[in-house]
This record gives sequence, structure tokens and C-alpha cells, in this order.
Amino acid sequence: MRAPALRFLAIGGVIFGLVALRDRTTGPELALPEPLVLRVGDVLALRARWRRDLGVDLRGASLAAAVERYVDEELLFREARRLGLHRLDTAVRARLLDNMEFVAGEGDAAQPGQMVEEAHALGLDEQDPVVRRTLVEKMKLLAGKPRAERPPTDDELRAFHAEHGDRWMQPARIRFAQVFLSRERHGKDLERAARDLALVVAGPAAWQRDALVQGDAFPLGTAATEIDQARVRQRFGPEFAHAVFALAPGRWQGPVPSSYGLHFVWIEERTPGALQPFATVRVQVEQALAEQRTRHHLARALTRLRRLYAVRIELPAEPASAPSTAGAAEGGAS
Amino acid sequence: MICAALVVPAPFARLRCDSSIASRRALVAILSVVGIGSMTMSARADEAPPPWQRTETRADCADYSSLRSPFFGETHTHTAYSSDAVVGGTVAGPREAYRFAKGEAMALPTAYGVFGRTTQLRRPLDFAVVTDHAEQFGEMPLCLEADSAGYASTVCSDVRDQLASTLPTTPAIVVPNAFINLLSPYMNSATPARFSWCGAGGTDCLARSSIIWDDTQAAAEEHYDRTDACTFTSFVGYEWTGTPNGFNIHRNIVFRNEAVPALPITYLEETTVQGLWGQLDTQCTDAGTGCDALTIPHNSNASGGLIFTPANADGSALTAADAARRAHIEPLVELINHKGESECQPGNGTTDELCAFEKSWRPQLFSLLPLRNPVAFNNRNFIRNVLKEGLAEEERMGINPFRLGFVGGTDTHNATPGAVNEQDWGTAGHAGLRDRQPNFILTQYAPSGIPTNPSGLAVLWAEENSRDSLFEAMRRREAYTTSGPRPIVRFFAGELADVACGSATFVEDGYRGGVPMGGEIGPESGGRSPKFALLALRDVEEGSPLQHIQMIKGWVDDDGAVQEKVFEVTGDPDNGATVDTDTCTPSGDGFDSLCAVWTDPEFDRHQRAFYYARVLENPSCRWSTYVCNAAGIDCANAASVPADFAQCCNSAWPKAIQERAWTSPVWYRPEAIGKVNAKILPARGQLNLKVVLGELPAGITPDSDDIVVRLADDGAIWEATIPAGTLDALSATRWLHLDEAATNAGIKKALFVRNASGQATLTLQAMGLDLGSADLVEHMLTLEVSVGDAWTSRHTRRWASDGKKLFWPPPRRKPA
Repeated sequence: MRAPALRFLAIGGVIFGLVALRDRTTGPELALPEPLVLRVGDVLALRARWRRDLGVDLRGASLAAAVERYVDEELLFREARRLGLHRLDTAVRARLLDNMEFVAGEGDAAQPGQMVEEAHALGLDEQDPVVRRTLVEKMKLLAGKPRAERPPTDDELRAFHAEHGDRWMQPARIRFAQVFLSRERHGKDLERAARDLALVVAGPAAWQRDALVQGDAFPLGTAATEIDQARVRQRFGPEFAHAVFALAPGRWQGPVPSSYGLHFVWIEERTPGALQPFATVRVQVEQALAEQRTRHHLARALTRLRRLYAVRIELPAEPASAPSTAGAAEGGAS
Repeated sequence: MICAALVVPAPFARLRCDSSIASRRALVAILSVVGIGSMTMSARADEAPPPWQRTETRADCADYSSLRSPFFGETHTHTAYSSDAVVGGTVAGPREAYRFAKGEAMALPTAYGVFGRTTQLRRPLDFAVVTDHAEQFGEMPLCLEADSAGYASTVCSDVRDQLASTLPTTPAIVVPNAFINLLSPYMNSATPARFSWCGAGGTDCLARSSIIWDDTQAAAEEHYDRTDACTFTSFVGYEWTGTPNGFNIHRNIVFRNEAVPALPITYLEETTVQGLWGQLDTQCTDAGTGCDALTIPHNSNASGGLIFTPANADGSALTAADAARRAHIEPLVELINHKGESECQPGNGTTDELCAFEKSWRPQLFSLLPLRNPVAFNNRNFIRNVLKEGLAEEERMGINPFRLGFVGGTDTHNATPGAVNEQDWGTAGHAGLRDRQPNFILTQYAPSGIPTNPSGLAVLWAEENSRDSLFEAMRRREAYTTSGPRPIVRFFAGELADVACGSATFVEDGYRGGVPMGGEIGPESGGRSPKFALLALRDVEEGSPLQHIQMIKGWVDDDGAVQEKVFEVTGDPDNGATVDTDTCTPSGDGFDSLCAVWTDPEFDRHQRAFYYARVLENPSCRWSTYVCNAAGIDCANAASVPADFAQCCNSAWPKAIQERAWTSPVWYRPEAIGKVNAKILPARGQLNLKVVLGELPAGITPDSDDIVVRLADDGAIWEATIPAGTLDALSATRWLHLDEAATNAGIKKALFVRNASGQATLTLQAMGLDLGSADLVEHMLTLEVSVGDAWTSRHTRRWASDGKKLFWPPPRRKPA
């Protein structure tokens, strides 16, 4: 979903004329399209336009990727027109009327139908950026949701869940208690304090019992919750998070350094990462599968259009230097 | 509630009594066998029930601690469902916003529909709330649908033109028509009305609005982790966007769970916050659906004093009931977001120099240019003044309407919650196309530009990362805010008998002997100052070393005037740390952690007060310095500075800042509950209570006022109402009630004694009770006492248990 306005259209299920259009797409009597060919000169012109409009000078792979995206959009636009969407769509029609009224000025009493025809005759539907974006987005919605699509079955959802298990993995967790010796509090005596505490935790049971209350104040207390590495990192810093996940359970170990001082750690329990059961993530699976299907249908439609329009692109030869400043422009936000 | 008693209505059944508890108990047993019995301290903590009930169906979190953990997030995010975000070129919706919060990359626009930038959080958030402007949920779709009645309107035509326009390459002073005509009649009017094409009563727009609202809820649901991993929490929310005559009175509404009103209550329906609260009562809290909500105001800095006026919408003075409802439904304020920090401003009721931090200097939300003159700002724009005014109001009527804890947010309009990094702001910004290139982000012109900042996060101390737990943390104000980094800050206040920086049980002792940030304390230490315990860890990954911690105190003096003072608590404000703003390289020492137990040298037990802590980092580069340095701006050579970068060399904007955290305040109330001695003996059905009530107002006596006592943990344990006149006056200062039959809530003996200074002591003994719902483990209990309508106080602490009884105060720890 690249156009801001279409964000609203898409979710309401209010794509005007969609059903009619789907019927049109199956019609046999459409003319074969003109091939879509971009010669070096065309590509250079596009590059100049992007430099002017976006302030980025695209080269090499970035330029190639941008051209591919341009071709996708152009294919959707041309195909929309070939299917007659530009005449069926009321948003396009109203936009053309807007423009024609502006062109004609006040007092011109032409019929709306006539004015739209004139707009088409003048080629306004090809030039207007709103019309273009509307048609492209509607073609995308159309291509992403083919008519015959039925909702996924339970088995399909389960299979998708199993196949993409990495998306629903719970990270490994540990449950540990820790005693903290503060660097700020002990200063240069920190190592000595750690040696003293090491004797305590290595000592008889009665000493070990006392170990937990022999440290300094720590904002999370000594208590052990069951947390993954990201949360350990958030609360204890990266150094400690890395070290503590390598420790064995069931005995006092340490001192383990953190950004704040030294810790003695007792790993109580380790829970390996696990796939979340289907039932608990069903809503998310449905959403992910629907998104994947839409992407898949769109990609297939574009492949088909590339064949149909005999797409040919000639990129300018250039030295393999000049890294692009374009960043990762791929994808859009939806 | 105890584990055996799971026969509660299904929606409210807490699931904490599952097998994981059994496994934890087994673990305790194992640890005991290997001889480290004191390890049971941690496991027992997990058995302690939270002081709230679960209102939704979900798994318990594995990461659960009754001593609470810090969860980082924010409560103010706009997406393409906000009309101003769409017109600004934002395309990402709520789903993309939640994905971004969880750490995924996001593409940002460089032109309408063109994405030449990407941005990504350096660390994911634990929680987020998408809060789109709900006023135009329906209008925007209708503007874009050719068969709608509104399509041909000028306002919709402007919007479509805006979406098709090529972009200016220099910052424009003139705001596009699309913005003015779309937003003005709605948000910026004192008498807002829907466009005529919305149909009679706005029905067409409202019908369409429900689609957006439903999708907002669906997106929150899809991204809420209901498994025991509790990786991420979303809340359903929206923004109520009242800006009468340009002054900002906005509120974000956060719902506790998935039960929400059928449509958001917007500024179009209710133009006053009192009206909004009334509708939230009707359609949410009182609707019997399990719905609960709170409202969070923001940008009081541009409010003209209107957010925190101590009056009702009709201008009448607040009553105690008005104040109580306000404090309940609005427990928090967003202290910082990208449109500035609202804590305090030099020249507006303070001389505190450190208040000169991320001031937006816009008297109205969209004042075109900053106005650097305190005279242009109402003192009530600044939260410290509002807290002081709250004390004065409480002095007047017994209840503080402005008991505000602190959260922070971004107010991003890019669907990028948590995008607070100073270094990333220059390329990402928060304002769609407006922030697409440095010369725009460096302009002084509203709505974005150099007065803005990447801003803040909200940190909630909660048992687990679930909606109920986080919502309860917000409600009790156990929250702090930061200007972006993630330091971890604890703050306890009270008698705090055992709390010490050299003690590993600092946190346990904090909850046993005092209250955390957001709570209230009474004269529990007699005439001595309560203790204030502070512990802060620096943010190692994205923050700077800590420099110092200050305590900010506000109080009502003996003449009834409000005062404020900033105390240095620990650290070193003069440590000499600096940052080279040419390279952004820091120099000088700081602290990895800071800890102190502080007492107020000027404490007066008769003076009402609040205390909050400000934790300051060493200096670091402001976002604008990164942007200017990246552009190679050389202010020494003025001729070389492009006009668009002139603000780089405007010394009014600082090159370095001190990132910081602000804890929610603790309030000291002279009349609040002081010392408590209490015992609950479930096996004997017996309860003993001795409660010192602070300075009761003169007119309040057991002759004329009901006394209500409640004890609760995650549910009610015991509740009693002693009607006025039940106690017999033995003298002018002593009242007694003896009832062998214990007919009223099991009360056998009740004694009320009032001393010469107005302090009262209530002693109760009750027998024959069913106290089985009190868990016999150490956990949080709240004792609430009310006398009459105008005096009430709560005492929330971790009570101790020996397995037979629950009691407070806990036993003193023997000295190490």
C-alpha cells in the first residue's frame, strides 16, 4: 500500500467496481498490448527525474531496482487502462470531471458524461497523477485478491504455522537469582568483595543460604523471573546477558561482570526456545497467511504482465563505482 | 484470592494458579534440599499474587515478579489512520506501527507514495499504544471515495490535490490548505462541527469511522502476545483532539483490555474533558462489559493553562467529588513528547535552570514561530506548577485533583513508536514528508522543526508484560518517563526501616516499608522526615553515564503559599563531563549506577508536599547537532552556511543536552494514614487493626461521619462501614463501641481517639470472619480508610506472613 489515501480504501472493502472489473478481466475480446520497452535514454530520463524530485542520484543496483519498481507500476497502470478501469472507476471519473471543470471554467454547461469523454480524448487520464495512483492501487488490490479465493482451511493454517515456525518461536529463557556487588559502591575494593562472596557461595549450606542477602541494592532485587536474552540485556546490559546464558544451572557461579559491577548467579532453570502452539497464535497466522497470499498473487500477476507486455529494459552501462545514496527504497510500508 | 478458589466468573478468573506455580513450588523444595533455603525468597515472590485481577483470557507470563520489572514503551503514536498523518504522506497503519515497535524496519516517504528512507528501532519496545486522532476516522475515507457526498467538497479536493502534489524543496511558512481546511473546523474550533456532507447527525462519517475503529482494535489484537512469553503488549487507544482556539487540551485514551466503546468518543461528540469522562463512564466503565479506561493529557506546554484549570467545564470550582474522579481517570500526564517537555520552564514559577530542556516555546500547538518569552505562557502549562496547585486544592477541599504521575511518548506521526534516538531523528523525524530532509527538520516553522525533539519513553513498573498488569501500573502511577534513553530507576518513600544501598533486599524492603513512585505517605515517622530511597542504573547501550540525581519538592508553607525547591541527592553535578559538539565525543567521568537513601532536611510534618526525582545523564549531542555536523556546517564561516541550515548556528538552540529521567512523584499528606499495626488470622477468623490517621479536619468525628475500612489484595478481603453515631462518645476525644455479638462486619471493639493536635487513632478488633481470600504469603495489601466524604487515605505495603497470619509492619531485619 504505497499511496496514503488508499490505506483508507483498502480496509473498508469499498473498492468500487471491483466485481465488475473481475468480470472484465476474464473477457476474451481485449486487444493485445503494445510492448513495454525502456531504452537507455528512457532510463536516463527516469534517473534525472528521480534526482530532481527525490534528491537522490541512483546508480547501479539501486537504479536497476528503482527501474523494476517503475516498470511494475507502469504495467499495473497500463493494464488498468487496457481493462477499461479508467472508464469504470467513479473515483477516476470524478477526478476527470474536477479537472475538466477547471479547464472549461465557469458557466460551461456541458453534460458530465460528455466532459469525461473530452477528458479522455485530451489524455487527462494518462497525465493526472491522482488518476494514475488510483488506477495502480486498485489494480494491486484486484491482483492481490483474485475472485475465486476461498478463506484458508484449518489445515492450511496449521500447515502455514508449521512451515513458518520461526515466526512463532518463543526465545529460550532462563530463570535465575543473582547477588550484585556494585562497582560504584565498592570502587577499587570490588574484586576483594567478590573474593569474599566467592568464599561464601562456595561454603557450607548455611553460608550459601546467606549469600542472597549479602549483595548490594539492585533495582530488580535478587528475585528470579524467567526471561529471554533480550530482556536480560535490557535490565543487566549486553555483557552480562551474553555471559549468563552460557552458565550451567544448579549452583552458584561467578563473579559475572556487568556494566554495573559483579554478580554471582544461580541459574534455576533453562527453558529452550519453542514453537508457540497453533491455537494461541491463530489470529496472527491468519493475518500472515492472508498477507502472504496477497503478495503471491500480486507477484504472479506482475510476472504474467511482464510476459504479456514483452518487457525489455536496457540499463545504461556505467562504472561499478558510485555507491547509491538511495537507501533501501524497496517494499513500501505494507 | 487463593488458588483453590477458582470458582469466579470466567472473564475475571485469574490463571495464576496453574501448573507453573506447582513447578515453582517444586523448585523451592529442590533449592531447600540443596541447602539454600533463602532462595525460596525469590520463588515465594512469584507466588505472591499481584494486587489486581485479570480481566481477559490469556496465559500468565513466565517473566513474572511481584517485585515488578521495568517495561519500556510509549503511549502516543499516530499512523495513517490520523488524517494529519495521511496528508503528511504517512502510509503505515497500526499494524506497521506495532511491527516497528517490535523491531522491524519501516520505509518512510520521500514523496507521496515514494519511499526513499528506512528507519528501525535500535531496541524493541515492550509495549505501545496506537493513538490516532479519532475525529476524522470516517471523513478521510469519504473524501477519497468518488461516490461519497463529500468527494466534491473543497476540503476533500484540497486533500486529494495535496496527495498528488509535488513537494516544495524549501520549508514553507504557509501551511497547505489541505491541513487548514481539513483540521480547523474539527480540532481547532471551540465549537467543532462535522462537515455538512457527513449527513444528518454525522451518521455517514460515523458509519465509516467504525470500520477504522474496528481495524484499530484488530491490529492491536493481532500484535498482542497472549502467550506466556509476553514479548509485546499493545493497547487499544485513540486521541481525543480538542484544540479550542489553537490551545491544546488533547488526551490519549488507553483501554485496559479489548472491551471498548462501539465508537471512539471524540472532540466532535464531547468538547470538554468532563464530557469525555462522562461518556467514558457511560460507554465504558459503567457499561458492564469489563471495559476500563484512563486518559493521559499531553502538551500542557501549549495549552494556555486549559488542561489543568482547577475548575469544571462550566467554570464552577471543583468539589471533592470532582477532584477524586479526575485523579482516578487521569492519573498520568505525558511529560515529554516531540512537541516539547512540559515539566517546568524558567520564568514560569521557577528559577530552576535545568528546566531549560527541550522547550518548544510555542504558546499554541501550532504557533508558527517559537516565542521565547515566559510571559506568553500560562504557569499552568508546566506540570510542576500544576502539582503545586494540586496541593493547594487539596488544602482547600481535602482531595488533590492533580495527582499526576509521569509518562512520555513520541507523538510520532510516522507510525514509529519509540523512535527516540537523537542520532536517528535527523533522517527519520516524526512528521512524514515534513521531516524528509534536513532543511525542513531544521526550520523554526511549525508544526515540526528545530524546536521539536525525538523525545520520550514511558517506563512502567509492573509484575508482567500484560495489559492488566501494565494498566494497573499506570493507574497507581508506578511509572517514570525518560527523554529517550532507558535508565532503570527505582524510587521508594516512607518509613523504609531496612532499606539501604548496601542491602540486596532494597526492593523488597522498599515495598514492605514504603511506597513506590506514584504513591502517598502519611506521618508514619512522626515528626521525622520520611526516607526517600533512589536507585538508578545507566543505559549502557544508548545512554550516557549518570551525572546526578535531584529531588524536586513542592509544598504548601505555613502561610498557605505553594513553594518548590530542588535538592541535590547524589552524584556530582560538577563532575566536569562535557561533549565535544563538533564530533559528539563525550569526555569526563560519570556513574554507571547511583544509589542514595535521602531525608528531607526541611521536612515539616504539617506541610503537604510532593517529591519527585530527576536523574540526569552526562551531556551528549542534541539531534540537531548530529544533523548539522553531518551536513558539514561551519558556523565560524557564516558565509558558507546555507540559508536552510541557519538554525544550526542559532545559539538559542543548544548543541548539547542532558538526557534525563523523571520519576512519578510521591505525595506526603499530613492527614494520611501514619503508623499501622495490623494482623489477619484467617484460621481464627480474626482481624486486629490499629491505624493512626493523620491530621483529620476539625469537623470530622465518629458522631457525624461514617468510617469505612477496606482491606484488599487482588480482591476484597474485608470491608466494614461504621455508621455515624455507632461509637459512643466517652469524652471530647474518645469514642468507643463494644459489641460482643459482633453484628457489624464482625466488629467486637472499635476505639477512636483524637489527640490535641488533631491526629486520630482507630483501633478495631473483628472476629468470626471468613478471611479465606487472604493468601498466606508475603504480598501487597491495601488498607483504605475513609471518614466522611472528604477524608480518605490508602496504605499499600507488602505484608509479611508466617504461614498462619498476615501482618504489618514486617519484622525488622537483623543487622548484617
